[in-house]
Amino acid sequence: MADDIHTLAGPYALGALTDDAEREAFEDHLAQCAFCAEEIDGLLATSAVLGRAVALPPPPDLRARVLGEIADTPQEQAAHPVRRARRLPRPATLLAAACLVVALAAGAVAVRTQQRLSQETARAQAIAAVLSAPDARTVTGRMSSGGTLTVTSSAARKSAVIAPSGLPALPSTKTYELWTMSGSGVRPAGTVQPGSAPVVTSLPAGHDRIGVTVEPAGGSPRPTTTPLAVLTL
Amino acid sequence: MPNIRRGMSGQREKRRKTRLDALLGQVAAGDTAAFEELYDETIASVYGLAVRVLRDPAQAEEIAQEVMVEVWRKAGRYDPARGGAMGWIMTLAQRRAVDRVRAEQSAAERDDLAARREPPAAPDGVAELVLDRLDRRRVRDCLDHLTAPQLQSITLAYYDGYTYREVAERTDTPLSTVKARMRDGMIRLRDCLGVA
Ligand SMILES: [Zn+2]
Repeated sequence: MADDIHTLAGPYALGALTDDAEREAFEDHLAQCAFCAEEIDGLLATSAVLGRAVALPPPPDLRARVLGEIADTPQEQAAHPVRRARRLPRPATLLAAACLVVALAAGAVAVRTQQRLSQETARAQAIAAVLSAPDARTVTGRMSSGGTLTVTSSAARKSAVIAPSGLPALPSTKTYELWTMSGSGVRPAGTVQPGSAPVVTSLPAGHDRIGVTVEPAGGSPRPTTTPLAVLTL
Repeated sequence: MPNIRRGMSGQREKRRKTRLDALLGQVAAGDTAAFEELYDETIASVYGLAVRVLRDPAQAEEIAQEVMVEVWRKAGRYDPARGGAMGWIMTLAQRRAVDRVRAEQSAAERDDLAARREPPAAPDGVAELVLDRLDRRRVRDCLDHLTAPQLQSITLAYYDGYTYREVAERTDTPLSTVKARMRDGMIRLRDCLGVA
């Protein structure tokens, strides 16, 4: 993995990579890097808006020709069932861990103070520990309010990495709060804002779901609103 | 910055996205009625983008036909985590249009065409089919929030079909700078539009 492959997310979303080989290399990277996979979802939705912005009325006879053609066109078999959750193959989790650390180190950390820097490094290491765990698995879910939640968890490490993306903005009096949930209880797992970096949380025994709610700024000890998403790990 | 994020007509956009995703699922199962509805919802964007890239309505029509047939053929391979149904369809459209323009026109010819042939302007009221007035203004406003080099890189790549390497050459800018402009600009645009 080239150290700067993350930066190809922009050109990829704009259809501006050099050739098919480079595109396929980046698509392989997407399958391994939760960070870029999250980002590309939002960037492709964004480039689609650039396309919609130049819409024109189509030629009227085009519709009949397309419908005529598909009547004679067999459909390809799905390569895989549509995934709501996927398990990363082993070698990929190591790459993903390396990739996240690189991304965090390259981006968020660059201009912080020494103290913040060591906090960020500790967090990056905690994230890497989860992502590289032998039993790491990743699930992704859409939030009913918009945005997605990607959670990579490891029972062995008793931890989960929660990466929100595309969160709609909230008034300053509110925050998004994350929760770990078991059959018998709910525990707060930190608050996040739109654009927040991934959060690492401990995963007590029996806690097998991650939820997100909107709470008063600063967070609540218990959820007070209906969850926007609940992901089963 | 986050406090200016409002999203593209929130609920209505969300309903549209959910419906398109559901339609694509039905298309994957061979439902031709769902395909017709999906066609009606997306063809103006697919065709308009092809016209913008190719600057030739006849070629754009061929590309639009190829794209919609590809949507039918490959619906089963659609991955919702790649910008939703609209993200997937517009990726197919942009890729086919750009492949055609690269195959048929040298970079110099593209410059020349871009300079001489403006694409037909959208008649009044037409784009309202696709983005309502508020959202079009929002797209414009958000494009205004980009730096000039970000806007130039994004436009040359997405609408004119230049690779990031070609953009770097044309603008006499290091590759790493161009890649960063594209990514930073798209992130800024995403956050301003409130999509995803
Ligand atoms: Zn990456």
